[in-house]
This record gives sequence, structure tokens and C-alpha cells, in this order.
Amino acid sequence: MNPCSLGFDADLLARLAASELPESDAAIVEEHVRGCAACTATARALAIVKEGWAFGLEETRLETRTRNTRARERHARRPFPWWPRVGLAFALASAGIAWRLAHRIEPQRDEPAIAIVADPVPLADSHIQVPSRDPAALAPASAPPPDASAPTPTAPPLPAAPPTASTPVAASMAGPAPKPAEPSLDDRWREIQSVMHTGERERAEQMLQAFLASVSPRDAHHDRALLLLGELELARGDAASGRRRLLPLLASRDRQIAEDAATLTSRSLPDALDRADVWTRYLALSPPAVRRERALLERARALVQSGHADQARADVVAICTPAPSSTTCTTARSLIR
Amino acid sequence: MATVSILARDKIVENDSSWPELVDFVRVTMRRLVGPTRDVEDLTQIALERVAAGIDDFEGRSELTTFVYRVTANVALNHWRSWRRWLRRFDPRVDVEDELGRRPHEGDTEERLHAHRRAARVRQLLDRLDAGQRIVIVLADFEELPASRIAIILGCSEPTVRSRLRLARARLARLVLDDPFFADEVRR
Repeated sequence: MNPCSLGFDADLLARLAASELPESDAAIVEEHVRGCAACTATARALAIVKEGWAFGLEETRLETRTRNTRARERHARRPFPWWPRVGLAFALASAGIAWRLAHRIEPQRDEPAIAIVADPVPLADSHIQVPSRDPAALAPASAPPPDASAPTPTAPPLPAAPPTASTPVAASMAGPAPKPAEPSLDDRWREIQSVMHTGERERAEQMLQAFLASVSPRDAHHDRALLLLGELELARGDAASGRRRLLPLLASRDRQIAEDAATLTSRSLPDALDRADVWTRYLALSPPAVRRERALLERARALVQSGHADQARADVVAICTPAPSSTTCTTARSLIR
Repeated sequence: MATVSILARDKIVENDSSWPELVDFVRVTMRRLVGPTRDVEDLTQIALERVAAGIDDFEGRSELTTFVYRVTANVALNHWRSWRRWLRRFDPRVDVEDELGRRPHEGDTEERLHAHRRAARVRQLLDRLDAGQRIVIVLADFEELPASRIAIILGCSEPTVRSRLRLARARLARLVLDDPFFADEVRR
């Protein structure tokens, strides 16, 4: 559509319709609009907008009454008090924290302390790999035992030191020779591990004994060293000594070491009742939920093997009550069937 | 209504205007400003809360209706400027009947159905205007308020109102002329 030849716009036409123009101007504009297609279309467009806008603006009396009734009902409704919400939030938060503490996941150790002793022998229904108790089945140590009769190699004599006393200043500056730095606990532990990896068990055992003699029970690696030494002794066939070392570890702060010690000790005992007794001692120290479940299963197994199925049934009930559909529960039930 | 304080209610009564009348006035004004959309009830509630909160500062230097117009217009402007409403433009599920807030009855005549769609189309075109221009054209052309009063309501000068009104009218007329829905009606 061509624009208006006089340049009249929608604003002028709207003011004409609203009688806002002076009478003299209004007559001229009105006369032009009658003959101008663009102005007529624009004026009609504005009229359409006005009509369309007015449609549906007025409410019927029924609509007003309905809406007012609904608004009154909504506002008359008693508001929900704040304290049940706060109580509910507090209860949920407490339950969440309690659940989190009960199912705390401990960080896994980098490497298992047990698996490096010897070729692993898989145990039924246990995640721990325990070495065979038969020393003959173990691989021979690669390093030969030290022979006391062999001559000790001696170092060649050092060349004579150059004369330094001729310069008094240099002699005065030369202090006593520095002592070699003692290796730290971590270095010594790494050295023991490297010896274990090479298969020199006897040497490793000596080093572990020396290590344990030099550290206190609160030091790092103490419990792990004790576990390793006990395990080596069990592997060598010295079960009594091994158990003597392992039993205190049931109360170790490292939960994994405590469980490993209980497993090794119980597996080293030929009598099933003694095995159950070891697990009873371990359970008395309140292990975490997952480890407790596993210990109950092992104790139930030992009790069944010793012919005390009734007591084993109580352990199965303790396992299955919190988690009736778990794999441990299924295994435990299969024990007493 | 329940959110309005007793103090504010007393203040309105002191200004020779009863509270139910004021509530009705706010509701009608809001409905005339934003149209019979689905949001009009919520906007009315917001405007009533602001009237109640600001009535203590009302000094009576202008008419109470101007004060209510000002509050209502600000609420409407905020509503038009909200990004949710802007996004709704691109929602194909919003059909013309929904936008009017109620569907036409099945027993409506053909003329009424056409008027219904026409009104919805006009509102869609108004949605495409800038919020500042839209409030001016609604107050001036539909509410038929003078420019001087619109300037007080919007808190701007009268020439600004006239300038915005001129631009809004031109743009709205152009939108209607270019819309194929109104092509036959315009060229008749």
C-alpha cells in the first residue's frame, strides 16, 4: 500500500478520532482522509485495535462472584504452621547424618599387605587372599641365606689424604665430618617392601623385626609391619608366634588391618570353635557395619563347622534383619540349610 | 485482600474511599491494562499488596485513582518486561483461546467466535510492542486518559508521553496493516 501523499501518520489520525485537533485542522485532515486509501486503512487499523482490545474486558457478574468466592476461600484457609516444617527438616537431616555415619566408606589401601607374601591362594567366600600354610608350597627365596663362614669382603684402602695442615686457615675451617643422615621411617618401609617384592622373605623378616624394635606402636607403618611379620611367620609354619603378633592387631585403628589380622588368625587355627572365638573377639571391638556383617558370616561358618548350628542361626538373623535381600544374607542362609 | 493491613485499610477509608471499592477498582484497572489473560488475578494481588504497602506514603496531593493507576501500571510494566512472558511468544502451545484466559463456548455464534479470535490477535500484536509504548497506548487510547495524567502516572514528562504515543500508534497500525488476519477487514 502506498503511503499517504501528505505524510499523515497514525498519531494524527488517532488525535482526529479523539477530537484532539483544532477545528480548522480537523476539517482539512478529515477531508483528506476520505480520499486517501492509506489514511483510511490506517484509521481502520486503529479502530480494529480498539474494538479488539475492548472485547472481553468486562466481566459478567457471575464471573466476578465466582472469583471473589474462590479468593475468600483461599485466604480463609489456615496457614500451615512453621514448626512442623522445621521439625521435619531436622528429623530428615539427623536421619541422613546417622545413615552416613553408619555406612561410612573407608578409603582403600594402595596395595594389599597380604597378597605380596606369596602366590595367592583363593579362599572361599572371602575377599582376602591368604598364603598357604605349607612352607614347602611357597616359592623359594631368591636370595641365599647369609653364610657366617664366608669371608667378609673388605674395602680397598683409601688413598692418603692430601696434606691440608700447611694452610692454617683451611685447617681451621675444616670441621668434623658430617654424619650420614639416618633413613626415615618411610624410606625403611619402602626398603622392606622392595625386599618383599624380590622374594627375600627371611631378610624381610629380619628387617621387619628390626623395624618393629625401633618404632613405637603409635608410629606409622607399625601395625602394617606387625601384620606382615605375623603373616610371614604363619607362612613359615610358626603359627603360634604369628598368632601372638596378629591378635593385638584386632584392635588396630586401621580397620582393614584389623579385619585382615582376624582373618589370618582364624584361618591359622585348625579348630572351628577357636576360629569362631577369634571372630567373637573381633566383633566385640565394634567394627563398621559392612565389616561386622562379614565377620558375622565368618563366625556363622565356623560355628556351623563346629556343630553349633543354633548359635550360627542367631548370626544369620543378625545379618539378614537389616538387609534381607543382600548377597551376604543369601550366603549366610545357605550355611544353615 | 487478607494481606492488606488494617492501617492501610483505615487510611483508604479516611480518603473517602471504601476498601471493597478500591479492590474492585484495582482489579478492573489491571484487567483493562493487561487484558483478560491468565495472569490478571496474580497481577491484581501484587498490585493490591503494593497499594497497601504504599498507601501510608500517599499524601493526597493527587487523586487516589491516579495513585492506584501508577501502582497498577508499574506492575503491568514489570509483567510485560518479564522474560517468561517474552519466551511465551515462541511457545506454539499458547493458542489464541488460551491467551484470552477462557475458551469460547461451543454454543457461541460464528460472529462471536470471530470476535474472540480477533481480540486474541490484537493482544498478540500488542505483545510485540515495547512495554513503555504499550502502557502509553493502553492508557491513552483504550483508557482514554489525557497525556498530562499519563505523565503523572508514569512519572515522566508530557512530551515524552506524546512521543511514545506517536511511535506506538505508528508501529501498531503498521503491525495491523501487515497482518494477513486483518487484510480483508482493512481493505474493505
